[in-house]
Amino acid sequence: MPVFADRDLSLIKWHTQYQKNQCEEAYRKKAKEGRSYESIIYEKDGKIARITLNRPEKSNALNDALYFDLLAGLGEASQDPDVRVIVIKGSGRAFCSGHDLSSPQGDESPPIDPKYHPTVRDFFQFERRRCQKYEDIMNCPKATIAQVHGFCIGAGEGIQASCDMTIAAEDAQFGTRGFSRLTMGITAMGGSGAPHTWPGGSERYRAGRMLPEISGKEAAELSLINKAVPADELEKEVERWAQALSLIPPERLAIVKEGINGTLDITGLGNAFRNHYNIHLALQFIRFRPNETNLYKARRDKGLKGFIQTRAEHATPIQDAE
Amino acid sequence: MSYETVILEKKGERVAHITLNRPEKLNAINDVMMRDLKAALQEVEKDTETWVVVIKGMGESFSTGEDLSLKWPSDVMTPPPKERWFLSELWESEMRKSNFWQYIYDFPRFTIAQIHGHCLGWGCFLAMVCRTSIASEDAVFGDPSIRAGFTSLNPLWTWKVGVRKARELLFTGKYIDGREAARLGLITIAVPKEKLEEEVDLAVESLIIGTPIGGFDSESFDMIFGRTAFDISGLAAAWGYATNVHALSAIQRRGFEPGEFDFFEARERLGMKGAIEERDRPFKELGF
Repeated sequence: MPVFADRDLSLIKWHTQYQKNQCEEAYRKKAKEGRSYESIIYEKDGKIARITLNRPEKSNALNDALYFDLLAGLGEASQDPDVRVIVIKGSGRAFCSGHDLSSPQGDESPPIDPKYHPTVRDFFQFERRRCQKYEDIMNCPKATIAQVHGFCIGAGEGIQASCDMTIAAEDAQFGTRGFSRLTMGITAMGGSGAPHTWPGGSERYRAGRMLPEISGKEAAELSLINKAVPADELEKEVERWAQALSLIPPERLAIVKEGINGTLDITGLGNAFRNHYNIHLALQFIRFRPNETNLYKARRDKGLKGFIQTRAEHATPIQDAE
Repeated sequence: MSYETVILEKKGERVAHITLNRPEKLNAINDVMMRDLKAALQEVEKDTETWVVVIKGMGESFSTGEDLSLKWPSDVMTPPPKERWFLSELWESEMRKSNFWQYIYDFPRFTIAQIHGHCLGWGCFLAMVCRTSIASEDAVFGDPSIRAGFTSLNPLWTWKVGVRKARELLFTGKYIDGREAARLGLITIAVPKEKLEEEVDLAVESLIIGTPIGGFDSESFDMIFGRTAFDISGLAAAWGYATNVHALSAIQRRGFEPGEFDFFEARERLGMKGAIEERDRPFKELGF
């Protein structure tokens, strides 16, 4: 993917459109060449396709390249008539550690620094594409299982929430970093439409408590995910579920999935996604009181390590992973 | 009035019991039972002295759901792969089913499902459309219809158990016990088997005590506030949507892939019991 680190963000409309074209071109190229991926590992084993997020050195943080590859992999599996079940997992020590905050400005993954004063009109397109990715995962016509171990943070949680089912290691850690007051933990996407926490306002939505992070075991007890097993049994357990789902006639599964997702849409999920990016937009324009922690500034001034350190000191009461 | 497949009896002044009565078929629901159940409820509706209706099953089970031994054309069974509906015929059938469930869901008296033994497929629907469902802890819940290539759609699945568990139950067709069903919100409470009737009687009694408080009875409140709130948040539309998606699944012609389980063929070859065993066997081997 091209990098636009030094470009002025007033050009965001142009260059995100350009990125979109690049992305589509990459899709087409991959379709022609039998597809090759840089940031994921795509494996097919009979009726089961496995997509492994493969940036272990970054704990599978999502940059644009990884996200595009993930969606392209899902596209390939969706189009492959043999495949009935898609398993999404992570390589290395984590499932996914969320947006890659070291991505260059202008990428779709990290939050945009308010200093750049983007226009709302430009950002609507940008945000729509960003949130569309979750909906794309959710509307994949085949059964999707997230196999979660280690950290499943921020956007990673969004990915697992958009899968049909999640099987996690008991010691996996779900949550969203950097929210100091009303933190919704595993339901961070819920304010805007986490499918698994719908309907909002329920006990599920709040994960039963006010914690920024919860373990796989707790998440399973709250039915936020489908099952938690000891870490060494995770692979086997997911295999068992995938095998069972691969016995289901795929056309039927697609129809039932459409029925369930459609019911969520009627209750307002689609609008909740729009709300999500509206709020993202609003966040681009805030200003900070002198005594407030400005994480954007921390990142500008001290770089990513400094940002994480500042966040750990000021925002998250729990020891940071880094 | 007497019915072929259900028994309607008045217990005391205020309570009607409707018992599904096909014990030899574990109260599987066929077209006749659909008609009878609705007619019995309509009879109860006319009798304004009846405030509470208990729906329960005769014999070993509450209900095993759709009667899979039926031959098409039938509202319960979708056509075998080589048959097709006329569009109006399909539409009428789908609307009859949808109206049937919504009629019970909107029934103007308090309905209680008393569940023991198996409660599968449409049995679960019946449990969900009643205001309250009380089950024995060892009752078996689930909707295995997808395993045989049928589609089971009802917006209440998502509404009651949440999307994660709705997908899990409907995609794998797995069975859960009463205790788990209560935990997920599929039913209201689960009690030990020997206490089931006692618990239902208690609920009935409390409703009868509560109902005559003019203007504040639980049933009207439920209807006026609860139902309307649900409809505003989309449930009314979701019924329509589910009906349409189900219509698609009923009319879509799907060939069975080689080696794939073909329920209609298995039913011919092995009979009902054998076909259901064959349907569940590979899932059982995987622990589902």
